[in-house]
Amino acid sequence: KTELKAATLAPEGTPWFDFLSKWEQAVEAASDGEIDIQIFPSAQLGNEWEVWNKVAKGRIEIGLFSAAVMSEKVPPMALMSTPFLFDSEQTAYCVYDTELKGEFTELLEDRFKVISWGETGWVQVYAQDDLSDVANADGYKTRVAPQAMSRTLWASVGANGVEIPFADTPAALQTGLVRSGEATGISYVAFGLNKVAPHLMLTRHMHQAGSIMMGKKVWNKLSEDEQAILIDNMPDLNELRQGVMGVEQYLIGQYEEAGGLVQHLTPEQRAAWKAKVEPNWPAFVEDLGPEAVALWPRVLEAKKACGE
Amino acid sequence: MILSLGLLFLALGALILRVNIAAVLLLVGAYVHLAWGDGELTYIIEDMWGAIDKEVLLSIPLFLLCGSVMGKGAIAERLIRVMRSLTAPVPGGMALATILTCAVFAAISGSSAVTLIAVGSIAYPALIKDGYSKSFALGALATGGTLGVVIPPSIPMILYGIVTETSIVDLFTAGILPGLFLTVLLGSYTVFANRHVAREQFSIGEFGSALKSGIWSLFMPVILLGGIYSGYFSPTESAAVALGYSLIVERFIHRQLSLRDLYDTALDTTTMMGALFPLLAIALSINLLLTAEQVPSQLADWVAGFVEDRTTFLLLVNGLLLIVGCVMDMASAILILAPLLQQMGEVYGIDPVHLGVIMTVNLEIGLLTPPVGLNLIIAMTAFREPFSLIVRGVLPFIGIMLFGLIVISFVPALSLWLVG
Amino acid sequence: MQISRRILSGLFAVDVTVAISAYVAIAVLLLGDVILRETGGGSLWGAQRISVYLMIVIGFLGLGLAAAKGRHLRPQFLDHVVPARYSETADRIGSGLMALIFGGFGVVGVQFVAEAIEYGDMARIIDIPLWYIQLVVPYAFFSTALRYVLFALHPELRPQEVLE
Ligand code: NA
Ligand code: NA
Repeated sequence: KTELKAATLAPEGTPWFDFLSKWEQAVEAASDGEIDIQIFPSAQLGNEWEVWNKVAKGRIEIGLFSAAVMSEKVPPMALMSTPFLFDSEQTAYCVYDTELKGEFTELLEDRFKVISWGETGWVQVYAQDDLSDVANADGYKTRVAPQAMSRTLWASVGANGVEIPFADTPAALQTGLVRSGEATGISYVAFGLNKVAPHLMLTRHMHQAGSIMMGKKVWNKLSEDEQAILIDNMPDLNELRQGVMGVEQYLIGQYEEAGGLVQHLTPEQRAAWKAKVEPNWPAFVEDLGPEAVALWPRVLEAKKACGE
Repeated sequence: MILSLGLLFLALGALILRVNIAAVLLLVGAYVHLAWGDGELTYIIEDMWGAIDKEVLLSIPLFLLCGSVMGKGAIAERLIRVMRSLTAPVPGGMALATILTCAVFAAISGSSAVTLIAVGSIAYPALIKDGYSKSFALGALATGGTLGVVIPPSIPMILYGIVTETSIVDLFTAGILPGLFLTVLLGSYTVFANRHVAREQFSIGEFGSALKSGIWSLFMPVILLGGIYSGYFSPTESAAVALGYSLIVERFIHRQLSLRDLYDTALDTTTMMGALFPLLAIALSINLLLTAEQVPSQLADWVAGFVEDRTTFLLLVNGLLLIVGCVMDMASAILILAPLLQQMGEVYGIDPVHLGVIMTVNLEIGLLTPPVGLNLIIAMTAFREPFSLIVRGVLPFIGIMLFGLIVISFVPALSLWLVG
Repeated sequence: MQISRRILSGLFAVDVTVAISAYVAIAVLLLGDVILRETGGGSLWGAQRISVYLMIVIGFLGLGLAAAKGRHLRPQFLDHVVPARYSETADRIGSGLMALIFGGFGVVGVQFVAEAIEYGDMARIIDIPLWYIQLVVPYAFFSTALRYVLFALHPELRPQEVLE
């Protein structure tokens, strides 16, 4: 009997947990119970950075990773989260699934077996004031996540950035230490950020994917049959993508219905945001290191090939 | 079975040979990994590293150092003088002042450890000097320190909010009234327990001169609270501000801190960290192993077998958490149990925010219960007193806290009223 | 004995210097970040992350410093199991045992660092290999072990325990 531990940050009842859970059941059925996947939700086995190392070393067999940890551990992966790179998630999906599938898999391949890409969704800007007009972000106190993407975004629009851990953010918004930040619509509502920063600007500035991966060593120890069962029974990634986008839209819709200040940026407003950030793309890419610099033109080509 | 006996003998043998607890835990951790885990000893170190590789812990060494600085300098004694002059007409005035200070400090720190250390390093010597028994003083401080996690901000509540997807701000708001309620309970008890202590006259002259000499000390909570609530710095950064402020005041205004003192306090704090951090790290690493073996979730499933209605559920949840709180640290208990309990609770109509407060208050008591009670361990390290004495000291306070827990569990409005 | 004493004070001087410098650095980083930000001078990127790494270094160095100062916690309810006249022998065996435990973990610590090198782990935010920082782990375990070896050889050098 093969027991595989699968770790994720996502709690039960979320699209991510459901996706893993569906896989678990399919794998169990297909293997007559010989392959037993145990899911550990809610970061029970540690935060993503710990889990990343443990999966790499084979201590935990499977990890569902967010784009945040992937782009920090493998900097060229951050290219896909370049602020305002994509206008539509379909373009990003196309790049992951067809154009650069091989390139991205290769980046991870020395230590991991990529089972599937993941989906975190669009990151949006939230604030205590309406920042639809990017000029309003100038000098505005904002929470900057400890990532190059976040730094680039906020520096480009001239915000007064404060680097604080995510856990401190709600309290910091309450006290006014910061007055804005960025989050996916799901975390914005789920963590109650809407109560302390009621304006949600649908900037859709950064798409984040993620992945489901196994450690290379563990993967190589499995029999070919087992490997095939794991791969073949992985549910369609589009289910996860639609699930995440669906929950996001539902939560934002509910918030708006309850009187929440959801700002639907006009194309001109979003373009104004993008115009501030785009000139800083080269510096952002440079910062990610030579591998990223080499890959960047291919990302731009792939984006074009995918229709943007 | 034989393996478990082996573990027991190994630990006892080491203790008989006067091996310190850090080494014993390393030995136990190694044994557990070899006997039940994957046999990879590097995992222990990997987990130790992961356990302390966290921004939220950053305020601990800074507040430790700040406490040590204030202990050497004059801020502490001048602050005590002001508090004492204020509460003089109340029996057990100094003890009451201690509890109140803990409550105020809780409003600027998110952890119980920090509250205990920061207030305790000032108040403990003063309480002893005032003639309170060591055990009462330790009990009052260790318990008062736990207010740090109920009165917002609160690190455990943040963890709960993250794993159960409950609004952290709602949790913070829900913690205010229960926190004040516990403060009143603890304050009343200290006055009651010391009702035979002679009261003193309130003297306006003494108060005035205490205020004058203590103005810089009094200004400190104002700067910290004001700085945090008006958004100048985060609670974590407030530790650095507190340290900077106390250094300046002690060195250049009170002029009671020599460079030699400074060196001593830094050394003192470092050795304290050396005693505390390895314990924290090794305990968390053993915890992680238990989680991977699914021990806690099996325990929760077992409890679920008894539940019939809301009242039974609340009683059983509290029972389970009290047991868990004895052996497990707060963060791990929340990370592992909160999602399970929240799901079970929804069946019985328990508001997740209310459950978050119940868990926090319950595990807050766990900080005071042996064998693994963080505040006991911290009090032992910081005040250099025997474990058994501290345990004896907190016993009556645990009783008070249990009463508070029952009220908070069965009167949801206390938590939810402000949330609206 | 003289040499042992010298080794102990040498270790102590090194550990204290590094630990206290790390403390000062943390205070300067975090305080500097606040002051810069509030005076509009920008932000010290990575101040908290660097501070966390420094805090870990302090924590591990503390392991040896706590040993040197007798600050390690030790439950004492079993102290009377060994009769008083064998007390010193028990202490020496205990010191030897601790030397073994910490020394053993020093070896594990080397493995831990070797893995970090093998996997190319990088420190977060600051771009240096993580193992530079992780070297403190085997160092802390080995230097603590060395202290207990010396305490086993010369019990009079073992510090009075601060905790009752
Ligand atoms: Na608090
Ligand atoms: Na406990």
